[in-house]
Amino acid sequence: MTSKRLPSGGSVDRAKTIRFSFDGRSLTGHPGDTLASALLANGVRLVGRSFKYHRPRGIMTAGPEEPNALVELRDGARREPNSKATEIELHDGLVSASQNRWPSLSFDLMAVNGLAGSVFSAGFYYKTFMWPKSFWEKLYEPLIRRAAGLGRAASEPDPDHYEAMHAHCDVLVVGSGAAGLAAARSAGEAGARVIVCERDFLLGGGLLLLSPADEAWRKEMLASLEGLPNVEILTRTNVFGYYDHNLLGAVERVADHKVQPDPHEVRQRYRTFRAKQVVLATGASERLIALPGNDRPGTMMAGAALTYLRRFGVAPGRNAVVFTNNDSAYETALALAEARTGKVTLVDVRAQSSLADALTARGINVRLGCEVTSFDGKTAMIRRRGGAGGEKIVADLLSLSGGWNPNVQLASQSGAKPRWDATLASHVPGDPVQAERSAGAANGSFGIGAAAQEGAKAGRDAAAAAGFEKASEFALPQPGRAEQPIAPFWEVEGPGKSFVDLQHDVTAADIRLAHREGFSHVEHAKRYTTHGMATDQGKLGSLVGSAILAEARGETVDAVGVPTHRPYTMPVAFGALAGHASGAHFQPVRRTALHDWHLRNGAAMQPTGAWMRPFFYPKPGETGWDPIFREARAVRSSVGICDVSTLGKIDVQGPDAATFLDRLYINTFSTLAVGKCRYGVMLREDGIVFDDGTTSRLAEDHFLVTTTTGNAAPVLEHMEFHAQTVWPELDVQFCSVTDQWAQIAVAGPKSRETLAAAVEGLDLANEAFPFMSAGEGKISGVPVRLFRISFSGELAYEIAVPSGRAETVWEAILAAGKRFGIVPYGLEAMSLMRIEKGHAAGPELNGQTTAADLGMGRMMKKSGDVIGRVLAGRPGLADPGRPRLVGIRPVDTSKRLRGGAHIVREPSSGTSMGWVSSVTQSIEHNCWIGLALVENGESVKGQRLVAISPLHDESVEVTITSPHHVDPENARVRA
Amino acid sequence: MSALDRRSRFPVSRSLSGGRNGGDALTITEQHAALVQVTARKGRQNDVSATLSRTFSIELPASDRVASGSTGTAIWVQPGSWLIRASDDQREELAARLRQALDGSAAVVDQSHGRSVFELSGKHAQSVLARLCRLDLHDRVFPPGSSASTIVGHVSCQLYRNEAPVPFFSLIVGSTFAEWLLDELQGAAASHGWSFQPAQNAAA
Amino acid sequence: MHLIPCPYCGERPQEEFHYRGDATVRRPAPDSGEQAFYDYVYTRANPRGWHDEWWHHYAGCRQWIKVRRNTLTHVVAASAGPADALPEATP
Repeated sequence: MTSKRLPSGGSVDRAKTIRFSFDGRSLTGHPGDTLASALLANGVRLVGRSFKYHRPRGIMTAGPEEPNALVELRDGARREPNSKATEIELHDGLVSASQNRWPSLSFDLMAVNGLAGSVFSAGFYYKTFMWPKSFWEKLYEPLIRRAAGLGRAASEPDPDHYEAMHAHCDVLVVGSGAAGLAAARSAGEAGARVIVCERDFLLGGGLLLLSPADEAWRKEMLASLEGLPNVEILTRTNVFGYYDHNLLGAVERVADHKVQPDPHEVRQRYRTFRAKQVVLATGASERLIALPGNDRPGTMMAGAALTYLRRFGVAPGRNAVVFTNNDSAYETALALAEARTGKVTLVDVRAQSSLADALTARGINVRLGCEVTSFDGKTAMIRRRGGAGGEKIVADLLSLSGGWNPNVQLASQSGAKPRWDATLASHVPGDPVQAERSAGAANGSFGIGAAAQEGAKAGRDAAAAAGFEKASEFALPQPGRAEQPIAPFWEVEGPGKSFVDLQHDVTAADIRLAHREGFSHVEHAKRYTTHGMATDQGKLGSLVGSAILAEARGETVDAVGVPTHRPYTMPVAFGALAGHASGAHFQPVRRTALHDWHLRNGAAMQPTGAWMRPFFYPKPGETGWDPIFREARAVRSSVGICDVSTLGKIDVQGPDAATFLDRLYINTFSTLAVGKCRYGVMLREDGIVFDDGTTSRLAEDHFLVTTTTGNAAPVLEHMEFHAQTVWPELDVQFCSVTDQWAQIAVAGPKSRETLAAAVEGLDLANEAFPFMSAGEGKISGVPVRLFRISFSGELAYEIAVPSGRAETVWEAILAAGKRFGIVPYGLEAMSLMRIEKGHAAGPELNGQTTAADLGMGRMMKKSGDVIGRVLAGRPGLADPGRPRLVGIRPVDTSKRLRGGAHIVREPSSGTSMGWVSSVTQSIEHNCWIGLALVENGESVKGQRLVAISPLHDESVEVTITSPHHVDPENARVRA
Repeated sequence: MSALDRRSRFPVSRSLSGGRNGGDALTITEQHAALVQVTARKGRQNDVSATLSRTFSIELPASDRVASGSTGTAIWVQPGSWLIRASDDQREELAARLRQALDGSAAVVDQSHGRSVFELSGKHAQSVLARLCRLDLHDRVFPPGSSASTIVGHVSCQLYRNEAPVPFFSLIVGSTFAEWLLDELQGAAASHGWSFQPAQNAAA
Repeated sequence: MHLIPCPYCGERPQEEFHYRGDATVRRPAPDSGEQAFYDYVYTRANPRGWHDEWWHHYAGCRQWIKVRRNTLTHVVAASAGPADALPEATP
């Protein structure tokens, strides 16, 4: 064990003990720990195996940039792979396991990949596993899956709940370090509505790494923020994306620090923020230095080592070498020396440093103008920079600092193109495009004092831009001393693997190979090598890779750039993105007013679009098609009742209503008499059929349009578009009344007698109320509208009833029809009968058919403006040879038909003449029947063709018939 | 015509409370109401306003507001169109009365059965709605009297804030979506707790 | 992600709208012939930059509003009612 808990220091509560497990070992930690800090405190050095080469890896960072310490968190249905140990808040009962090792972490057979490294070099997927094709399934894919896996997802459904929440504010502050806290306070005291998001479970960011004496300012800031009711602070909330018009997305980890959420608590909350102004105080990330062995357990970023020492009171190693090109790592060396665990050597590539004496005075071995040439976990080799030979230094910790990259990801996503800052050797946020500003380390202003000052100004400016000008004053920390300039430094070349991306096992050599093979653009090199494509998004080494690419190209890092930053800044669980919208909450469900009646009476309910509809009402002992046949036979022989409330209903009124409908439909409505209905077809402007339905004239200036169930909303939008933008001079008003009226179909030869017994105030005799009449009456005292229309092909009526009274009317009709054996019928029987009757429905109104294709070409009126008339006349749409609606029946009546089958002349002909759109078993013909769209449909009627379904390996000889399998003369509906 | 068969839209088996604290954080009340949509004919908006003011004491509000008069409440729906809400006992006559008074100056469409009304009150009303709606309902932005046609729980709704000391919202939704929306409201309120008061049978 | 400034309802999230594209094309007179209707239905400039578009506020006031939006930056410069004109030009 080389790492251990220090006797004092840090923000952990040593008085309390937390029990957790890692790879089956029972371990302890303290409140305030992360899983990573607790593992280090327990001396756990090896936490995972790398992705490609299965090299042993240890904890490298203390944050979301962690490439190595990915674990499976929890077990069973709650198991979550690829969780970063550095981001997991330690809690009692936490179960974790290392991943990507086989058979065990310390002995991994796959490590042999490291010896065969050349196979796994850049582009290896493209080069190695190309052919033969058959090898993919049997050999390559299983090999890759085993060799290059991340963790295992749970195989059971997630038992936890998630939700989304939408917030609005004047100023959103991302990050709660010195800059973030100062920004929040100055904006909050100005009176703005402020939300602060902090990814961590503690507020303070870099303030948590200061000495205890400096803690007072953080405490004072937090207390003042708590006193502002207009400031909301969200911890454990990572802002993952910055989108258009100042919308930001975040995930709040509500209960990830518990074994399971409390009752009625969500595990994670997906949040959106619509902010007038945004302050990005997201800090900076340290970048690594490429050198052979920079992935060996014991390698750790210098800032991370400081975090473990100062925040968690954990010494990450005994004897340490700190390798740097900038001042920040000096603090790490001092903290290591303070911990008194062993020897500390600081290697600085810079030839001079004004801080050297202070470190030497603390017993630190300071080596200026030197570089580390390799690390093997036990020793580091150092030499004079660029020199030969080397000196061996015993060290179990190699602490790296290649400089700091401001976390410009969110600013970059907002549209601000990152700008290269040569003095920082890094990118800083570019000029804002949206209403945002960066402050503190995120803006390249390092040090607590500078960050706080910049944050306070950013908060003040943001509040002012949002309309809150009230000034406020509060004390800020003193600015620190000026830093010495960084010496841009990216790589120590040498034998062995120098990593630029540890999680995806991408080396400096891979980057150079990508360049040699022509993938020299930074976006190409990224994809060819997979550099920066892992869950850490290249936070550690993206810029290092660019610098190596730049050197290979003979250009500057500035010119090469880094790949575009895109959401998400950190991995986001699908569960969080789905929020509450899963299972029964996936999409809105519409229930008709008769829904409960259907349920109480045993209906088999099915979703059709948003609606729940009865498919049939099975009786005990019925299986398969039994209930459908029974219901359809009842309608054909006597009477049935069906809930057709889902049809779209649009109330159209106004002096110009008739003119408007004449332009909307291919047939004429201005000539329709009050009290009559007419079937109508409307086209899209491109000449294709859009929708059909029955329209009734209730008064001279009042129509009721019905639409198909699925097109109710699109038809209303279509009407509104034309009324508002094309013919604004027309005086016409629309209103959807789909939900106001429940609609009940009563169909069958006994439907008139049934209704005659139930309806008051309307004479239903054929002469008084013929086919296509509309009228009003009462049933059980409830005022209803009656329409004599038919979808089944039988004598039939539809009754519209105010939906709150639907059940009363439905029950009254059932009672009236009892002596005829009335049955409720569902969607399946309705569909059977409409196919028998040859009515076009969804499968025929498929967005490709013209009115003529469906046998309704003659409905087009001779003159007048009609939507779709002109383009319907195009040669391609007017071609008489186009597939046309016909009926089909199998020659051998024992054969079944298939929807989607092709119609061909011979089974071997290979040329499709059309397709089968709808099929059913017919109760009239006692065989399968269907509707099809067949080329030259009129002229092939009576011929025998073949319906082939290669999918089912079936071919059935069929006779082409009229689409009207039942009552082609339409006598029944007029009876 | 009796109002006897106007019942709650919801089965009696539905729970009346749920969630973490089981009730006091959010109260959801189903309300029966007379609802009529009035849409002015082209160029007749002033006539409609005058008639409603004179005959019904309702001053038609601007686009983002509701206004209440002695006969009922007017909710702006779209340019030239308002939803008039009155007590449930006016349900049988309201549309006819409006039609007669407006005398062809507007399309008058009864929606008393086409819309369901929920009232939401309690200190967590805004927090629950923030889970279902993307509008800013903060006191500063959406004070009492504010109204919006918007999406709540993935469906189109009319949402307005009533004059009351505690946050108190009315939510009007297509009646075929009512049960869905109630499920969504209760789901969104689970971490606070909710109670549900179904509409009473008018005869009870 | 967009906020669409509805001239009737104020700024609303794009989820409340349906998009229909180019608002500069005008439906031709019924006797203008096939080519005119073909252009009306199919021919689009697909500009990179400012674009006048139809957005239907289906979950709000149900108006087909005109929105001037930059297809590159997504900045929205102006909006107008269905029968109203957008400003002449946007810099």
